[in-house]
Amino acid sequence: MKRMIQTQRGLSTVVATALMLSAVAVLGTTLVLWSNSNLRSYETSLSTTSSSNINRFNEFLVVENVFFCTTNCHGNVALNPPGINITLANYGNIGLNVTQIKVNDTRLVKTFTNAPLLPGKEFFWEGHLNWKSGKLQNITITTGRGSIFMVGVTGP
Amino acid sequence: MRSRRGLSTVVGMVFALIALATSIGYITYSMNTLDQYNKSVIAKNQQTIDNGKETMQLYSVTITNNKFNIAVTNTGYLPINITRMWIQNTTATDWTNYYSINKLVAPGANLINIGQITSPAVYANPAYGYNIKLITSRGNSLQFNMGSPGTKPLFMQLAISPLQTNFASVNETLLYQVTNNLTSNNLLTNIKPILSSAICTGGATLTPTIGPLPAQYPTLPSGSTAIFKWYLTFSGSTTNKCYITASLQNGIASNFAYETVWVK
Repeated sequence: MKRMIQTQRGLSTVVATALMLSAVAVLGTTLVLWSNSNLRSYETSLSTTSSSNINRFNEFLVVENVFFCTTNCHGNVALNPPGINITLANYGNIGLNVTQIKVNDTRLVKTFTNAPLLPGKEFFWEGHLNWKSGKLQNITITTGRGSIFMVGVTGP
Repeated sequence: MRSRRGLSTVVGMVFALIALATSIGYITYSMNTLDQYNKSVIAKNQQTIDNGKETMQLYSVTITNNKFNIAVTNTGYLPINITRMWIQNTTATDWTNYYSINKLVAPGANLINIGQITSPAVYANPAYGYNIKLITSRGNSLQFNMGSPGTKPLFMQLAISPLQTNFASVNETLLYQVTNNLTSNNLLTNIKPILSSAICTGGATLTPTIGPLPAQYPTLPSGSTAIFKWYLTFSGSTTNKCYITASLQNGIASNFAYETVWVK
């Protein structure tokens, strides 16, 4: 009788220990997986934010030349003169996408869906603009990464 | 009992190690990312500083062999790579083009003969006005206008000495000053004076003997003055006067200077 009691007590302890261990293992594993998953998402978020900001930093677009045409806008027959001819150059080390060229805020806005500009390359665009001699024209360029480049030029 | 205590310690240690490894991994990754970000910011900052330090000045501009001959000086502390030259003919309508240069200029050094060797060749007409822009690899530019004095009226004056004379015949010295009073970076080229024939009263005469000296100024930068000198012979009787004007070749017709000399 005494031996039987001892055996039962030992069995329940083993079971309890097994249960406890299982519970700890399951809970611990869940916690570790959950924290890992969270950390992964933080890592991804950090990586995305960091790389997009670094890429935006490295964008280096220059409005290289602005030419005000009166009658013959580079032979562009589709363009009703007078007009403005803008040359953009990518002086950075990464490619960029020109998404919008704006002249004088809302006066002349051109949106591009796909205007890639590789490093060291130029991009020409011209549009109809009734420019006045000696009047300042504000040109704003927006890229696909959200960088904004502004320049002011005066008509001849 | 001793064995169970050991088991729980092992299990705890395993989880602690996993948590520690994950944390260390995350911190290392974050620090690497931040380091890259930091490097990128520093590089951009340096680029911006370099852009600000890049300075060059126009040394001279002439037209040689019907081509532009531009010289610039690197007045900064960094080497400059001049990549491109934009030229707009401001006399003609809608004429603009660009040409590759790709020449390095060391700090303090000059780059000469810009425009002499370009492909295709760039031909310049001394009678025309041009707007020229030199672009560097850092995106900076040096822009200036060059052209004949016929674009805008210039400040000019004529001085003759002696203005009055008691003698029937005297040698006169005439000074003609032309100032480039256009805004900065407006360079005038081929400044050649023209002296009109004197209009005289009575039987007076005013005749140039020597001049102009010098015959021309190839270039006249903004704010500079060109001085031309003539030697003349004036002869006449009492109260006789001579009226003379000076202007510039290819200048504006109404832009001239005048002076009168007379016998007392």
